[in-house]
Amino acid sequence: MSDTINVTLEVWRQPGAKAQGRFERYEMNGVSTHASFLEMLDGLNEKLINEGKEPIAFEHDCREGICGSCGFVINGQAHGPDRGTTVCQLHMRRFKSGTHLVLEPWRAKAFPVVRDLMVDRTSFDKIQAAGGYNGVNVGNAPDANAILVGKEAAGEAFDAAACIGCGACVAACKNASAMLFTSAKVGHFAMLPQGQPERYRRVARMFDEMEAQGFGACSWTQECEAACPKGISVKWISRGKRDYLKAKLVKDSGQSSDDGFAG
Amino acid sequence: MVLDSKTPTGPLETRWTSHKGHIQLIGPINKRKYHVIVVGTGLAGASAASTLAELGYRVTVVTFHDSPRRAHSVAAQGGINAAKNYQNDGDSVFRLFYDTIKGGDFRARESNVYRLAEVSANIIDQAVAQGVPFAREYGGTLANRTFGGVLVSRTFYARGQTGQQLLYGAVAGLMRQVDTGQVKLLPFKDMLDVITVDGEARGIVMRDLLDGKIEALTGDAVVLATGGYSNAFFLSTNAMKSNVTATWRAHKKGAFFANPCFTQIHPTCIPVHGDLQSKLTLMSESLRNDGRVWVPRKKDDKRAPNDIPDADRYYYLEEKYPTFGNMVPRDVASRNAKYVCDQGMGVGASGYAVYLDFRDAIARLGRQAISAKYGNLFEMYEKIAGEDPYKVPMRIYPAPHYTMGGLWVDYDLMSNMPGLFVLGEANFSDHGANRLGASALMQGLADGYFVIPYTIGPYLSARGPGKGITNDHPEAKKAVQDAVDKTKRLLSLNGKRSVDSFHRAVGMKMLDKCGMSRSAAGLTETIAFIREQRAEFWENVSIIPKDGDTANQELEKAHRVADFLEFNELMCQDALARNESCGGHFREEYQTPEGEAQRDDENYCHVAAWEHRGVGEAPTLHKEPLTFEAVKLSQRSYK
Amino acid sequence: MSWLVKTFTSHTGRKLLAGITGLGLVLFLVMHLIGNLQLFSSSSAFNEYAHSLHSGFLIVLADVGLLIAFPLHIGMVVWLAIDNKKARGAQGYKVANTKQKRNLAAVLASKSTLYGGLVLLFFVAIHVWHFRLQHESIANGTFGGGVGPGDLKSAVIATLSKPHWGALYAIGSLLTGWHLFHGIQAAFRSFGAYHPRYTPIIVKGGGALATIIGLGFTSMPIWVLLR
Repeated sequence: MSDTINVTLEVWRQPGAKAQGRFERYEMNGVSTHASFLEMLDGLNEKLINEGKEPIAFEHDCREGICGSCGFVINGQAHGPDRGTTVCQLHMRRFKSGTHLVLEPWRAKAFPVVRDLMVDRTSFDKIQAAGGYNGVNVGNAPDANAILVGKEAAGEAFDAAACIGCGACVAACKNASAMLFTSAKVGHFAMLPQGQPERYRRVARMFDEMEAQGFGACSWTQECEAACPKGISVKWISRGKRDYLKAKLVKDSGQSSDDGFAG
Repeated sequence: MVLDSKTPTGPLETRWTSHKGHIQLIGPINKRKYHVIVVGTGLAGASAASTLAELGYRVTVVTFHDSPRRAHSVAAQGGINAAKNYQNDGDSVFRLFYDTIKGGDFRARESNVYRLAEVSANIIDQAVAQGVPFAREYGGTLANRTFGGVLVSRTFYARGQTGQQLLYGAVAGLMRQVDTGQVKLLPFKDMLDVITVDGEARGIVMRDLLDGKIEALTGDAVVLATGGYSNAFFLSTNAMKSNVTATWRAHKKGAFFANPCFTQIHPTCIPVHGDLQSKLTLMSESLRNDGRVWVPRKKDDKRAPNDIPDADRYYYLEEKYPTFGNMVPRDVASRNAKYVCDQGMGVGASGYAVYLDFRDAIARLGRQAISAKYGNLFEMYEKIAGEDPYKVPMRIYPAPHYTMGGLWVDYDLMSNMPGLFVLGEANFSDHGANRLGASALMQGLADGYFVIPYTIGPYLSARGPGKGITNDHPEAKKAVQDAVDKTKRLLSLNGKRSVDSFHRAVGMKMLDKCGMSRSAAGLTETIAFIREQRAEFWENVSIIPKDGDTANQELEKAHRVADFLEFNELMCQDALARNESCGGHFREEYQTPEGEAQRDDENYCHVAAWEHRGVGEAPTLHKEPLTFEAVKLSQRSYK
Repeated sequence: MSWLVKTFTSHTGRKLLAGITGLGLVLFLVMHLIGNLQLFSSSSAFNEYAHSLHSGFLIVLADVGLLIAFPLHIGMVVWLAIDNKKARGAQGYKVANTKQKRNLAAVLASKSTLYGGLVLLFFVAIHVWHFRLQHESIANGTFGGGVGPGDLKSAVIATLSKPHWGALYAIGSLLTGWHLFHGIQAAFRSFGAYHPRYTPIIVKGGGALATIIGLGFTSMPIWVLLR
């Protein structure tokens, strides 16, 4: 139980959004293999503070892989080497002693660095605010069982809805595309009968907003799926594109994303 | 001061309907003249903000996260209760009401709890309409499962991520209002104070977490939906940023804090495993549907769990509570786990863990069925513990999880400070001394979707529109200056200890002395310790970096920990003043011969609402008596 | 009509155009390969094929089609690439890595499609100069190197038997296969085609077609060099 390892960290340090960044090296010795990766960083920060040095800023909150706050790149892999895992759920038992780890923030124009490993992902919410919802007011809902949804459809909708908006898909994509995030949000609603009335208007607006926010296009390298801690499939991208093209070329509702639509 | 809960009278079943029917309405033209500030974007905050905006109020929403979707409601796993009776197993509004009030050990208001049960069904309807992908049967209808402390299946769920899906539903509703422009969303803002004018809430002071700017946000009413304070214990299942700051600073400005000692220790969490441990991870209570809890009968039995034959296993919950078995309420399950571990029967390296075993369920239902129900939880366990729970029983131990206490509110969810409304976990209202599983999501959404939209009306209409203050008001300026000064003071300290070290020291002491069981001696000792640490904090804390005008996570934490260092004292004082055991509050001096909680209805059937008198000063206790008409007070029995 | 412009200038729309033109080019390549394989039969068969092709309507269609498809395909892709580069921002990653479990070839193909395509452009230019722009000189016998009027086969062999040209054609052909290895399935994705049962067929079929096209064209310079 008392297994410990030593690791060398090379961490991107950037004191502010506009400041120049650089890498700095830190040695962490005697790290418990039972510690999570972020707990290891807590230990490093405690050490830095005790030495009067500035701790490393990184986003984190729930530390159980569901809030989507945490995330940075470890040796070129978003959220580290384990698939289906956020960096807060990554444990040190995964690494051999003597490992050299390079920690970098998500790199994307639409995710500007705030400090060190922390980036600003509010662009995701701009996408969601462009129609990523069902337009129902409270008080209008029919009885829950009045809308039948097959078990498979509900399950598939859930698969898409499981997206935590961490941004790993953008970080891992060579084009910094938000296609997986946006398509997952689109796909969740498109799978359900409740989502049909706004289906095409939604996809048209959200895709256009994604582009406006400065994310890249999809080159189908499928890095996003591999990096996604929730294992969201690239199939949602195909479905999203199909709906988008249908919205733009066939349906009335999706023709223009700036038709003064509100709510 | 007499606390007026403004509870309607008349038959329990019609109180809410009749109350709603007599509320002063505000016309659509006038609604837009009111500006409501909502702090927090969890289930309660997001649902309240979107619903108020739908009605036509102008709403500004503040969150310290980058996105509303990160609020800690997202982590709730198991499910949400609703009296739908879809399973035809005899459920009803009254049963849900009764289970909840009994589960809370008769320390909640009847009227509130009944209202909660009543609107529970609407929540499911609303969530489904929003597109929440609840679990379904093949035929397309909604699926249910059962939870602790009840005998019916009324819990709706979305795999093990129900909170996430409900939150995303509520946040989608919120983003819709952002889209229409009815809601202004301000991310990266940490609330540091309430602005009051003549004792009424008129706004908040907030600090921008990116550029450090501290400014006022003023309006006609303030709605706090800022969650609970389990992080008072340092180690808890709460998110790292969850804190008491918003409610505590409101308390210091005059809002009463009710029942702070009512905290819930959740029985099924992954045990502590190292010095660096930063938080504890919950394993949904729903696991107890199929998992069996046991410890070896012999003390210090070091055999591997699978080598211990049934005869040597002590299924203590099933033996002690044959009716409810592994599904007893959380407080009972937690206390019993602590009890068997204290007896030396605990397992794992520390001896502070019990087994949650799926061997029998897997044999009965097959691995696939178990995986379909709990797959993501099993994976999560394996990631953290490094063991495969399909093969080896999980090791679990109780951990602080939820806080029933919170700011005192009346039936309209308004605190004693006019204009300050408090929703969800941040208020004290509906769970009494213990919360049943799958009821937190229910309460957060009930408050936000179905209560506050009605009950904020009377306050606003009585005040009239256009009476809000501007940021130039002397009180607003003063509150901003106070927050600026406090921040400067924190940054000026050139101490030796990290912020975390104070949080850890005091939190661990709290966990030990004010956690699952409490005693007068332990509480007194803890109060002294807190005071000592608090004094040291303000001399010896070290906050680096020193800049107040950039993202500074240590400074954020320092504000929060400074508040915990004050608040924890109140929690101990409340625990000390409540000379009885009830629900999650277990005073060692007051227990039945079988070791169950011994209530004292004669002297403590009340809500303890505390008034702040200054840091380090004795707070004043105000009692709101609890009266019961529909239920008879009884010793809780789950045997 | 602004909706049409907006649609086809969006990322997804540009990708759609690149996909349609790409598949058109694949179709052309298939025809081209079938024709070229006549090289392996008697001289007359290949030359007759070439002659009938050039005297018919088909060559006009192909020329016009290619003149539209090529620039569109390249234009859209390069335009997207510029946007994509911007989206990454000024600071890139220090360490490059992947978490994919697909076979390495598929991953590399998907990431090198653009650059492979740009190299291909260079190859195509040479190829067009060799056999399309000099078609007249072959037809009237001024090609040189002992190639008689209309004897395309000899012209091809004369060109490819020079080791540097032969090698270039072999590499260019392989690169075409590599480009299509990712390109064919990606084109279908650009249309939004997805089906749990048929998508795997498209992926496998696309890979197979790419391999056939790549190896098919490569076989010619190799055959010439070895004979």
